[in-house]
Amino acid sequence: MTTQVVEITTGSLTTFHDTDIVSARNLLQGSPLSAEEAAARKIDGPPGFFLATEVDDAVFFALRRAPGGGVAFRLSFQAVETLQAVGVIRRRIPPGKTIQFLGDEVVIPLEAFGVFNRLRETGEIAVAPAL
Amino acid sequence: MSLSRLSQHQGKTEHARQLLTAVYEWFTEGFDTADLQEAKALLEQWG
Repeated sequence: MTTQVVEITTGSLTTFHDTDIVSARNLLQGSPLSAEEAAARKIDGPPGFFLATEVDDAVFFALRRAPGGGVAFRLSFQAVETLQAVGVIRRRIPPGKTIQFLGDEVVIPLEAFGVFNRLRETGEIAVAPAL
Repeated sequence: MSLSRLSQHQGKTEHARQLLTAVYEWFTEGFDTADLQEAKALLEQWG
């Protein structure tokens, strides 16, 4: 699998979400985050939407849903501030049984999906292909 | 920076500093941009 990292725009936090190819396409086409879909599709841990700060970590999660696709989410300073206020956190990705991850994950709980979707609509969160 | 500024305007400078620090620490690049330079200046001001 080859990985193409999108151009990093200064002044924003670039994160990556790799998933199955259909979900990736839907996200790129503007589909909002859906609590119902997140609950139905979760593999482990609590439902939510997860962004990796390192693209190589995101690729691992795409492999679990192969054929996979990747989406880059660029969060503005304003977006980060707003998301933190509604409970979004950044933390180290918990290690798996056979893998240690390189970076962090940004965890968007179900309760924050509405705010996340509005930030996308207003351009504070930008989306681009990443894989 | 709006939430931090609001908190600071309400006289909660320490709370404002904590909010802004939490946001600033998420970034590892782009420190030459307006947002991050403004944040840095405010953090230094609020010391």
